[in-house]
Amino acid sequence: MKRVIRNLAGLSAVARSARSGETRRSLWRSRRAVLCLLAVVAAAGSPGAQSRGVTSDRILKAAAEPQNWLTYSGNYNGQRYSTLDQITPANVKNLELQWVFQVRTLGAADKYEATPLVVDGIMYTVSPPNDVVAVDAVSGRVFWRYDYANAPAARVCCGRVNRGLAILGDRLFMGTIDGKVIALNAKTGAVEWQKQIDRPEAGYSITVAPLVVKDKIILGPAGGEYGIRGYIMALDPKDGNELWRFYTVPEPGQPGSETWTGPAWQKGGGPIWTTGTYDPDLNLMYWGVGNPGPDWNGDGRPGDNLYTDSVIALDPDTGKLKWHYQYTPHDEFDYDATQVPVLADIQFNGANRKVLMQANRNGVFYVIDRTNGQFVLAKPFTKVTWVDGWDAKGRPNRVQNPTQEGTLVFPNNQGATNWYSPSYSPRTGLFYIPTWADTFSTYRKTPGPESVRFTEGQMYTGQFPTMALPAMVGGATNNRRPQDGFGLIQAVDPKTGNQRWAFRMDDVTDSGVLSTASDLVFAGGREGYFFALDAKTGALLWKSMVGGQVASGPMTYAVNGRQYVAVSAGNNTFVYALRQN
Amino acid sequence: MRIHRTLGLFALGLTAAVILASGSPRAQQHSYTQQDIDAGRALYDGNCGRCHNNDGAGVPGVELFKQIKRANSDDDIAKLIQAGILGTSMPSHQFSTAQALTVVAYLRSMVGVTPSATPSVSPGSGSGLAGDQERGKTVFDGKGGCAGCHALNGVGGTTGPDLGPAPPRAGGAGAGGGRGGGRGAAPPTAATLERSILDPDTDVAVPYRVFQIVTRSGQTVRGTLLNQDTFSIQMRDQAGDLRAFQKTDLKEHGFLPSAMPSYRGRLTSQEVADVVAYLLSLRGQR
Repeated sequence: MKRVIRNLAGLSAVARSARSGETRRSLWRSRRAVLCLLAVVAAAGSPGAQSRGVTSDRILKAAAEPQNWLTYSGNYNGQRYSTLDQITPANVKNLELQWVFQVRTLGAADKYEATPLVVDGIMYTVSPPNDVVAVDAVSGRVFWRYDYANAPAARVCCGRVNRGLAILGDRLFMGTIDGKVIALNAKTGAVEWQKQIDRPEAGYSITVAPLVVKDKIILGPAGGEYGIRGYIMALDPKDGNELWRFYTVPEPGQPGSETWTGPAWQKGGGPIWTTGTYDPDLNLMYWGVGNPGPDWNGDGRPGDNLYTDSVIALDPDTGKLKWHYQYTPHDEFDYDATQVPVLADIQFNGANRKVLMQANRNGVFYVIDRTNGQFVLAKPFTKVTWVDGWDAKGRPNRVQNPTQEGTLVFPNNQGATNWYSPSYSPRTGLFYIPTWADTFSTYRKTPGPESVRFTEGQMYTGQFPTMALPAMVGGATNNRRPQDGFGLIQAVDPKTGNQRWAFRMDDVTDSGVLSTASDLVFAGGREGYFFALDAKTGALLWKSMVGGQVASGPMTYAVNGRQYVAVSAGNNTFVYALRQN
Repeated sequence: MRIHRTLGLFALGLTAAVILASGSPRAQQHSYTQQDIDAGRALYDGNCGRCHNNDGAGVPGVELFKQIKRANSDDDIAKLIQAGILGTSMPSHQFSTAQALTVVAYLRSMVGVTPSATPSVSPGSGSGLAGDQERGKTVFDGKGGCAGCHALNGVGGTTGPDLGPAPPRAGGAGAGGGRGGGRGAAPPTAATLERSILDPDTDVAVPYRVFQIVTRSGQTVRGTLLNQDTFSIQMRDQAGDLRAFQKTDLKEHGFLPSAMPSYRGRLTSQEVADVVAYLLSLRGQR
């Protein structure tokens, strides 16, 4: 059986290159036969029913199998760039809906944020809060479904969300909003182990899609609005046992503790809720860290508050910190730095540099040298008023703070961008940012730490700032004025930070971006459109009204030589492919 | 003279209060003190605002300042806040019953407060001139011609918002309209009132915004913008009919400037300060 499966993989590879319909059809038939056989054997419980599984080596070389999507961002560099090129600017107008997967469990403030995984023709995804499904990536028909009932103590600041799964071998890994990690058998949906990571009643939840690096499952807790103390941890995929833990807020005596005052570190925040990236050559992982607590009143935590609002480079084997860069020291605007740190090697002033790029919630696009954390470039990608420059080391000159009477700050509390994945195309050399443009908040605080009281399990934030836009979920209608803010998918040249083009939307966007080797960019927004743009010019090439906001990252995969594009929006996952005659 | 922006809320607050008095679907069980409401507001700001927003309408289908569908009595609402709603996005909250009831007090006090514009300029300090409310009344009724468009408690023009003070809220929550007021509206201050007089176009209250489209064939339609997206517009025209347009069929579309003229140059700085003092005095503010 193992040999058969390996052959199957080989066939898939052939199918990818094959362009003849006849070849594709016959391959499809043989593949279906193998899948049927596989299913029969699996049903019989034979130990032979082992697919080849997703080894860490396969994840490392994910670029070699573009028909699959093996990690949250598609591969370790976080570029969300696919080399699949069957769908092109010329034929994208022929995209046609293939199937829809409908979710049953979304609450009014929940969003369907997960990026699906696709492994050898099978799609795995999570619908809010923590229901997992395996479906045939060609037909949308369900193989199995796992529904998880969260403990009533679970609490999340901003709707019940989950951003996706990780896979290693034949095991799927999911964090839950009641603070567990659950390992499921990818073939049966059966629970293989579950581990309580932290206390949900204290506001610890897990919404991040875990990252597999070598033989470890890496993740951390959300809960930056509940006075948690954040961390990144490695779990053993065999049993969920903890292998190491790095606290994103240091305790007294540790490096970085000098940036805190008194006991504030104990509930200093620094949550982890968007998946990091990994450079195997440097053997470093990069994770964006969330806001300090309390969010909007820093009077009780004088200092820079490391490593909140920072990107940190960790050794995945040990959890040791190699370097850090803090985007927003002593944040009082809730500018989590959890946006995906995108890795690329680009020419900079004539030299090839290994960089990390991040479009930050604080409205600034950053380029950092990922070998050592050295600051390379910072440039606002929309209207920004809280900072007016950076010193040579990249420390921002912050010019605004919340005040008793209120301070008007651009961008708004939800940020100029957020967890919505950006994309980088090595072909165009452009970085694509889902943007909330020209948004603003008025931040007020009653000065002094005593105005924010801590009670375990209650939010520990300070005063919610004003916003002209709904923070979490788009409203049913939008009758706002242009000056209240709008949405963009924009392309930025990372060498300068300058905008190359922008596709403007009347409403903002919580959509991720996907770019492809045929120079297409896929994205959507709160208005409920899913669309394709020309990656070089931003011209609109195709659109589909999906009737619900796109609040997830679009992804692409191929089965039997046919390319698909998938996006979750509203309560559904929509899958498109070119019309077949 | 017509004063827009936050002041529009006075009128809306008044309407809401009337509706409330004439039989709200949510009967209030308890009476609350201003202290209860303030405590509830602080809890709401810290724990609820992120999802429900400052206007109570952040979650689609849920409008906390209008109606709570899942509970009627104050005690039931408090229980719901404590326990959350299983199977929805509403989490449980570690509030004591007394704390949860202060949140209910705040929600009660906000009934009918409608979303307004969020200021897109900093809440500055204004001219700083001391105003005289008696002189301000004279300017309001005379030189400024404000009463031609603005009523005070239902008496006067109807083109602009009624600038009279809303009656005290249920439970003695003090003057309405001034508190809350949607996504971020703060109580009107001398500075915001001054801005409304000098730069009326800066923030026009939502009900007073006029949207206009001109089709490629030259037809002009005005009315209320109901919805819009990158490609299309949905509006109610001045005849009350629902109209939808594709932007590709339009020559132009957008909000018209405020109907209220700027009083910069028409009134002296001192006169503006006097009118501001008068308007604040109507609401018991200085």
